[in-house]
Amino acid sequence: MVELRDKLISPAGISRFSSFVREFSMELERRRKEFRDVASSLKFRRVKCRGKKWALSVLKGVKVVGVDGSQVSPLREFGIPAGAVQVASYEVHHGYGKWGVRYISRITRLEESVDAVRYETEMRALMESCTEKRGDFIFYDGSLTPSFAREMREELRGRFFKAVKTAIKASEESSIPVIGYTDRSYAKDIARANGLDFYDSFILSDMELMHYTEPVEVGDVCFSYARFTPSLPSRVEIPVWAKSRMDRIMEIVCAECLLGSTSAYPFVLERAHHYARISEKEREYLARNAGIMSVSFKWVSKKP
Amino acid sequence: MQVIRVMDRVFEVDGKLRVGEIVKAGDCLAVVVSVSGEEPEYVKYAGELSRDEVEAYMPDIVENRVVSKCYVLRGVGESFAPDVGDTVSSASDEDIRKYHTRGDEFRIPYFYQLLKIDIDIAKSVLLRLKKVFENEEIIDVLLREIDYMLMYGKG
Repeated sequence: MVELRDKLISPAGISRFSSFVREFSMELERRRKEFRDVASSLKFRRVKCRGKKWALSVLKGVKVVGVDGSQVSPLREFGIPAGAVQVASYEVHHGYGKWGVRYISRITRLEESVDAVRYETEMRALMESCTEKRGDFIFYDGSLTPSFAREMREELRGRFFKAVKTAIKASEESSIPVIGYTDRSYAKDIARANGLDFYDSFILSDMELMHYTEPVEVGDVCFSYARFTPSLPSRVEIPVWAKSRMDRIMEIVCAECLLGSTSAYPFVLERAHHYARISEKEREYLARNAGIMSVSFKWVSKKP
Repeated sequence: MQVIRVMDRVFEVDGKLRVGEIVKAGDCLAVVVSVSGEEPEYVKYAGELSRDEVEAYMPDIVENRVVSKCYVLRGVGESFAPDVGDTVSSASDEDIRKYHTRGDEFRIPYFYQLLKIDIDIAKSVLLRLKKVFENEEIIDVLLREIDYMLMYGKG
């Protein structure tokens, strides 16, 4: 951590921030040989990708579901002690022009953890997509291994892990793979396994395009890093029961990414995000319709 | 079609209506003041794919969402408005007659506010009212007033 006795957005602050990032890049360069040694010890597989038309041939007739959530933290600035979560499940039957969106929304009290409620609701959407066989593959925008929950108190941590277990169980019982996709992962599993303390995605930053690492098991889930663009590799997680289907799953992931607007992020998750998103304007609209109980003058003074 | 957003006396409907048409939403009557289409995301996604391929594999992105904006016909001091989710349909002659009659008296308390919004839409509303209230002279007077304003560029 760096501390400075100055405003962040000032010549000194910006300069210090830029230096911090540059120092990180320099460390990355210094350790590149070390990272290459780790990467060379891993096994990789290739996806025989051949562009957008190939993606269509892979996806023809396949039903895919994408799940993503959005949240409104308790509207404290309006004196409303309630928050909300909205989860969208976007379904598409590729090649047949059929699609649909389903929603689960939940309203929470101030005392509840909106993050936990959101994760539970997202896992419930995954579970329902499996039990009701809405897709052949179910994508989730996030991790199936909520390692971020490890720092939380026990009761809260338990909620995250219980929620994901339910989804994984439904996936296995229905034989429908759920796929956790993290575009920018800061996990350190491969690093730690090799005695390093750095981010896996940076260690693998030189891996070949259209390749992915052999899946590694962590509990009920196995993970792999896939690189479909010149950017850093993304992390893909699936339940262990689906490990033998990894090649096919990665083909689907690659094809979905090629359909996406950036060719680097799965199309179904882009659409799920589009439908789940709650904009700032919608948030204010929600507050006004709920009946503002007491506006915070602090909030009013901060509005542009 | 349904009401999707309400902002005081203006509300939005998911679908294409005709500008100047009188519609019923909940217990209110309103006039359609604008219709606008949201830019489809087709351009963002299509790339080398044909439109047929986009429709088959990414079907929701070719749907062009149309939103119609409506102005509630109510007088100063009145505050009713439809609720989000209310069904919107074209107002029938009976709807219009009931809405504009108190006792046996014809009333149009919103007229001058409507005139400030858009003179052509105000004229469209009057022409619709004329079909229901054929013998109401006040409608003819107001129509002549509008024609005068249009003739002399006061609209």
